[in-house]
Amino acid sequence: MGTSSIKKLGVISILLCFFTLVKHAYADCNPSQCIEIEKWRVGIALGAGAKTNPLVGGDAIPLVIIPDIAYYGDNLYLDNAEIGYQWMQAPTSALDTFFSVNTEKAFFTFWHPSNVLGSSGNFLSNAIGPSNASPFDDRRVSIDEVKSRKWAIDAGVRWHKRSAHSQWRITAKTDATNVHHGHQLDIGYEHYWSLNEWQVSLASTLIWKSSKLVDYYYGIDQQDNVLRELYYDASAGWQPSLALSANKKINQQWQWLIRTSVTWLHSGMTHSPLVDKEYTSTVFIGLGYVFR
Amino acid sequence: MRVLLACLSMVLWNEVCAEELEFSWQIQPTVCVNQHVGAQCHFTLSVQVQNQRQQEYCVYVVTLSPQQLFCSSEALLQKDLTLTIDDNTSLLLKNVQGETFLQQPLSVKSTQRSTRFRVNNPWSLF
Repeated sequence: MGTSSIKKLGVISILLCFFTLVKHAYADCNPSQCIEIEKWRVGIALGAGAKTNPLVGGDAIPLVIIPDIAYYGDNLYLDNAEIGYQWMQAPTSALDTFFSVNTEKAFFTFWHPSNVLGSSGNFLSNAIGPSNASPFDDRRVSIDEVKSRKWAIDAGVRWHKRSAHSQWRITAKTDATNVHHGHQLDIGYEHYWSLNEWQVSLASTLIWKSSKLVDYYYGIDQQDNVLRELYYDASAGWQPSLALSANKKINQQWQWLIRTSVTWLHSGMTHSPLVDKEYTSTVFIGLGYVFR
Repeated sequence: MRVLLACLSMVLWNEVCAEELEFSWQIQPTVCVNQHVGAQCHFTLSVQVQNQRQQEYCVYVVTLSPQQLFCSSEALLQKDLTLTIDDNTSLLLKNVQGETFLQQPLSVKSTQRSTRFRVNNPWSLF
């Protein structure tokens, strides 16, 4: 792990420690975190934004339309790309098991939302910020040159610990579809504020990805039909992440939405010839409409 | 000056108290419990009104606007009311001039949970 990675981990760790000092209380279900039972929530957000793509030759993902679809029964739930069952729902804690779509493949996908919903990804990518070149610039391999990666479904278990204005989440996931054969662990803390009429949350997360997961998507081997000297075994590592989101209700249906996040990638991934950025970031500003 | 203010405040306090003491009531229960959230809630509540000066008054339930339930001028009235409400509301006691003397909040509770925490934040697909 490089010095910069240690610094990023340090920042996240300090934030996690700071947040834990905040006085905890009983968790109330505020409207932005909660959903009515046995009622579909269907929403659509329209705006401007993008998610950067760390891959060589990969376009940023324009965020022009963001759907929000969820249905919660007493225990079963569907929440966007995740379906699960909650085994425990205490006032301050919960335990879920779930299946969810692994999103690593999105960076490789031609039929990506960028090709369906939006305009040029390169323009948005440049607008978000410059690329951070890896130390292996001379060994770059474009995603167009390697074998296509597959989508995977992960099976996971998640534990929530909530207080009045915060939430801890620990999530462990493993490949349920024999695609990457890897695992992932997320340890996250989220804090909520009300700022005038805005509901604001800041989340810090440490994400660990196993070597099999990282190597399947970002490693290069004989299946990729590139020069042997470009082969790369990607390795496991921790990826710190920060996310800030804010929403302001205009009326029962409409709300303003602002979302921004950054995830710093670990060296076992960024040293891959397929990767030419050290982070991914997301920005979105728009209006959300919830059908009622 | 202090003595004058003290006297004035005592006089005003006595007047207010005197008006409030003209009416008093006991209402049981004040919470209606139903099974499903958002469903109409039926309950019977017992109202006992003490009206020392035997003035005419009326009792209202607040829906979109106050709806009159009954009027009386009896010194002591005991009455059972059957109400159907679908949200938190209030009972009001008003005199004939329409001044509100007493107010009792009524609430609706459900045995069924209405909401759950989402496991993920809204709009977090990407």
